[in-house]
Amino acid sequence: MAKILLVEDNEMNRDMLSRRLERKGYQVILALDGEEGVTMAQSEVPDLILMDMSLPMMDGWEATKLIKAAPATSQIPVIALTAHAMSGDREKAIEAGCDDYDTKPVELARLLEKIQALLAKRGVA
Amino acid sequence: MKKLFNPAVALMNRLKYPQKFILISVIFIVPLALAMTFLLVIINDGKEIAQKEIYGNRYLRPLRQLMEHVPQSKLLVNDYLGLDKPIPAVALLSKQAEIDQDFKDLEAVERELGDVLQTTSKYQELKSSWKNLRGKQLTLQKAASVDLHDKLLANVRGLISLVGDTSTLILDPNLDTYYMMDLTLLKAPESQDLVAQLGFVTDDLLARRFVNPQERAQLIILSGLVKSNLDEIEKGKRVAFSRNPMGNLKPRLDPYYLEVQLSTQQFLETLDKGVANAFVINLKPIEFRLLIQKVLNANFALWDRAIVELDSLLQARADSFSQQQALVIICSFLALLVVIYLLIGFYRAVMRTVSSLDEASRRMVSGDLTGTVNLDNRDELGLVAQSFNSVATALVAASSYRQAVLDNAVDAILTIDGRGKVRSFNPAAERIFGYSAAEMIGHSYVRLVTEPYRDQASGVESGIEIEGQSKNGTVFPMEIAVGQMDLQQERMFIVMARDISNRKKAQEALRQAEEKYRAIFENALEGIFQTSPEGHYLSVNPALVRIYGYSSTEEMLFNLRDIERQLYVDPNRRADFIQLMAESESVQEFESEIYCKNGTIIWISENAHAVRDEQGKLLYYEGTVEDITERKRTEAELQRAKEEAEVANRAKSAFLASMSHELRTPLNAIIGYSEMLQEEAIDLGQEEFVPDLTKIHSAGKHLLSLINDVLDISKIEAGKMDLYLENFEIATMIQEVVTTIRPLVQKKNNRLEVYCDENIGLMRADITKVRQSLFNLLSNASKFTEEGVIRLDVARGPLSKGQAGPEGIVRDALNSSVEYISFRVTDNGIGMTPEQLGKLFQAFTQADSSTTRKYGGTGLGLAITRRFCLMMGGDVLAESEYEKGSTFTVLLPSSVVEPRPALSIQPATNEQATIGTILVIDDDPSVRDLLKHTMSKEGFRLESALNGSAGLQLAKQLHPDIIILDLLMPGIDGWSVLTSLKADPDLADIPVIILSVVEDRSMGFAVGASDYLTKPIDHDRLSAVLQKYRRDQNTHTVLVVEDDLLTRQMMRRGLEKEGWSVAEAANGRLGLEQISQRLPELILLDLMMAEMDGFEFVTELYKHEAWRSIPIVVVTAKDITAEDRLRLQGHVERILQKGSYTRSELLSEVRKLVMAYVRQGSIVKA
Repeated sequence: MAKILLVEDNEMNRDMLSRRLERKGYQVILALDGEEGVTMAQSEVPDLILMDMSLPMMDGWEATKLIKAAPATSQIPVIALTAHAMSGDREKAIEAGCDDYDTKPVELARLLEKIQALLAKRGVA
Repeated sequence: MKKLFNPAVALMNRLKYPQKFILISVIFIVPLALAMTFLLVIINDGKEIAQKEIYGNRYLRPLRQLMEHVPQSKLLVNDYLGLDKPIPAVALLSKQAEIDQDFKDLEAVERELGDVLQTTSKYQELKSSWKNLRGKQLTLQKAASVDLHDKLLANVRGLISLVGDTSTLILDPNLDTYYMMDLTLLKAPESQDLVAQLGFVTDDLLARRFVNPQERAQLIILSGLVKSNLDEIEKGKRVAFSRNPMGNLKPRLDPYYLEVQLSTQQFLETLDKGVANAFVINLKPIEFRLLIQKVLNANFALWDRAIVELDSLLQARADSFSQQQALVIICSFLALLVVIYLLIGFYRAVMRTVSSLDEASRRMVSGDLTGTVNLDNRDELGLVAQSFNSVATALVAASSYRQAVLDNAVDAILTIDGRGKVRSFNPAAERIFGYSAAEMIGHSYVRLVTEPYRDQASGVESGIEIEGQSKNGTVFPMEIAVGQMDLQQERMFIVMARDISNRKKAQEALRQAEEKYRAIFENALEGIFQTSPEGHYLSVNPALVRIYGYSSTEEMLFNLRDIERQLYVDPNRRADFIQLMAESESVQEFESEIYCKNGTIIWISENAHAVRDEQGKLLYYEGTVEDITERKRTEAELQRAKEEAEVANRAKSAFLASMSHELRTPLNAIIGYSEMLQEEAIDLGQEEFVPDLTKIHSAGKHLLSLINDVLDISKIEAGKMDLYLENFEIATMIQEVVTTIRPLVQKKNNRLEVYCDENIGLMRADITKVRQSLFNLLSNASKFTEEGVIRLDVARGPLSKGQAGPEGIVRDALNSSVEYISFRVTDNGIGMTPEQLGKLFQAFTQADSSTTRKYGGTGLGLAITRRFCLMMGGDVLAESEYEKGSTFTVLLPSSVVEPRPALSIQPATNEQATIGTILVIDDDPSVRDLLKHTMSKEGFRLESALNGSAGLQLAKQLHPDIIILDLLMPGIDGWSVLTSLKADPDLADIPVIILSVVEDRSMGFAVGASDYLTKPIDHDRLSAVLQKYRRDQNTHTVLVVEDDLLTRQMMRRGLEKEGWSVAEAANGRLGLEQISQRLPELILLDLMMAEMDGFEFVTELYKHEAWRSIPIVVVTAKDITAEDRLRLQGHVERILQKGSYTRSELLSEVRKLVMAYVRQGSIVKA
């Protein structure tokens, strides 16, 4: 069972997405901000990270960069979740090292496709 | 020494040359004449003496005869009376006759010379004594007779003495003649007398034969006397002979002397022996008498001879004196003649020099300056002539100089004599006064000046201003200078006059300008100053005084002495000012804070420049001062407001960002939880909740899209929307969109048909915006269509006519030369009325408000889509028919470029080939936009520059086919640009069309413009003009030799779109046929063809000389082998492999090559 780290500061989004993903059979661990996300990525070594970009303390780009810079976590695929209106976010996300990105509000079906694609690429069922 | 000669010099200077010569001649000749005269007198004296002596000698001759005859007579008387045997009286009488004869001779001589020799009285005495004796000789007693004879003899001898005296014989200066004289005058008579006495004495003795002692003594004395006399004679002879220069005396006289000596010695010896010392005298009287006679004869012979010799000597002397005299006279005369001759020569020589000098100087004075004096003199006058020539040369030079000065002087130069008559009038005078020199010379000057100045006394003056009057009556101000010179007792005035009208005008203009400047200076609102480089005020105007808060200029100048320290708040400000001045000679809007008089601080702005003298030395700074305190305050306020606004803007951006976040977060929750609830409700089998949950969900979604739209449009409006360009696969992107939209389409039972080539390739754009635009169009179509067909067509290519629709949408942004990707969404829904179509793209406007209620949405979708497209250099076209359906087409360049900042040069970025490039040089960017439409229609590529220098630079880079040039531009204006273009050999051939509001065609064409259009732009007129300059399409033919019909047509379309004429041939043979009909500029050749393939075609083509130069581009699908390349080597320009290019790429490549070769060809042809 794939372990997904969801880094999301917004409680409702976190609750919603985690519950929906768990229902789809993923193990979901949660981090509330970028720093925690980086720490948990290292301690838990998830199979995939869903990273909200607009986070308090340390934002998602910064966190992604750190994750991608550390050898232990650099192989973990990161899907950036950005606000729709911010068109530049996608580039920034890719630049930061994200493997894919999706816009919020999350369209679960599309997100699941991306998650599955990335996991499949890594050979995780 | 000099002083000594001063009187002589003075005297000589007063005399003319003839006088000088006469004076010198007289002074020289008089002493000469005197000396000569004296000499002549002396000679004459000698001559006279000689003559007198000759006279004396002559006179002596008869006296000598008497000296012989009288003693003989006495002897005869004695004999007659004393002798025993008396002698016959006859003898006595004959002797008496001889004596008479002698007296006759004497009388003759006396008559002739008596006066001269003053002998008359003595002669008379002698004559009377003879008269007394004569006749009585024989009658008288012997003693008386002897006595009378003695008396007669004494008288003779007295006369001889007298003659010797008076004839100066005894003073004879020469020794030979002297001794001859001595002999004849003294010694001979002495001897004669003594011997005669002896004879007389002895006569008795002999007769008596006895001598008494008394008588003996007498005899001894007498014989002694004879002896001494003889010695004297002998002595005189020796002297005479030795001192005889002619040497003829001795041979002539010596025998006579010898005879005298011998005879006298014999006589004396005889006397001594026979008489004196003998007691008895044995001598016979007769013998003795013979002896005596012999002595006497010898004596007389000598005497006679001596007289003759004396005479000849004297005569010779007299002759020599005459000769001397003649010689002296002749010499004197000759000398005089020579002197006179030379003097005359000297005089004439001098006079010749003088007169030629005189003549030359006269010539010179009369104005002929060519003559110099040509003389061969080597004397001082020659030097004078040389000097004269030098003077003449100098005078010629001086005269030429003077003439040149007179002729070329700007000022009028006149000579006026003492009576006011003009004597000379130079060309400048003629010009200034309008009179010719001929009209003025000899006439009064008064008509040259106006009335008030005519009577003014003229004196030497300089720089006075009077009024002149020219011939045509014009009165003008004139500045004159008067000099005077005294020429040959005549006073002349030299007047230099200058027309100073222009100067006056200039002064007046200057004065007015000065006044104007002064007025500006005094009344300007801006402060005006001049400051020294050291930082003092040189002058300030009232405005500056006011600005700085002083009450008067004086007060300010008195108090504000050090600008650096007293004026500027920042002590370095003055240094900054000077630094800027040193860098750029001027400062603009140099803003500083300064202290006013009362200490308040104000802001000023200075505009100033440095003023330098001709050598570049800094004189002072000059400029204006503006009190910008108010402006500064406003600016500060504005700045503050701006900052506030920026803060607000940042706040707004942050607000937008947070809105997007804050609005979406709860919405996401609503949407997410409602979706989740739906799923869970289904899972829990409580399906009755599902429809409500679905409503919540879709309402949330709708709200989200509304919020997104509002946020988007506000970002666009705020200019905050950025483009993120990337290359992406069009087909993939379409697939994503279709996936997203499909549910929406299906909602109203519509069918979606997508036509997109899988291999349509990449495009470069902002994918998010493209996706959103397409989603908007498709979602609109879905919204307004029910149970219909929604169709999406995606295509690549240039704009087609259909796409440039007539619906009034501005399509300036579109460019026919750019490749576009078109996304066409067609529906058969409710469609729109034209009215609705017109308002279609306006934000916040839907077709009508009811639409919103019926169909939902913000109405922002199309507005956002259009703005996205415009941002990417594309557009959205809309066509619609009410109740029939609508077609929306998004046109985007296949390669979107970053929008450039405005007002910059637009470099050539478009590599697409066109029929030509036009460079627009215009500072108004709108002109470029306006022209773009016409240009594109005509098939030109447009490049633009916003100023002259950028235009020139771009012209050099691009070498455009046409340049459209504005005239009025900041910086380099259009005229200068045009001139520079035409001066550059590379650019001179580019036709330049002037497009300006300025109407100056003649000037334009003169400078080299090809056409001249005026603003506002008349597009028809512009098209017509451009038509003129576009390349003649018919002359540029491309032959496509290609067996595949589709490829051929594709190429034809592509090329024709660019304006080329295309000929087609299906194989090589047909291709050659085509070429024989018309020579193409380029051949596009396929290799693999039936009948005649490309290789053969090339070989055939090269058989024709005229066809060889046609460039060939091989376009083939064949794999080219090395052998193939070899066959084509040197014959084809380029080989394009069909497989390695997409169709459009291939076409574009072909187009480029065609352009390049045709251009090259046309250049070669040119």
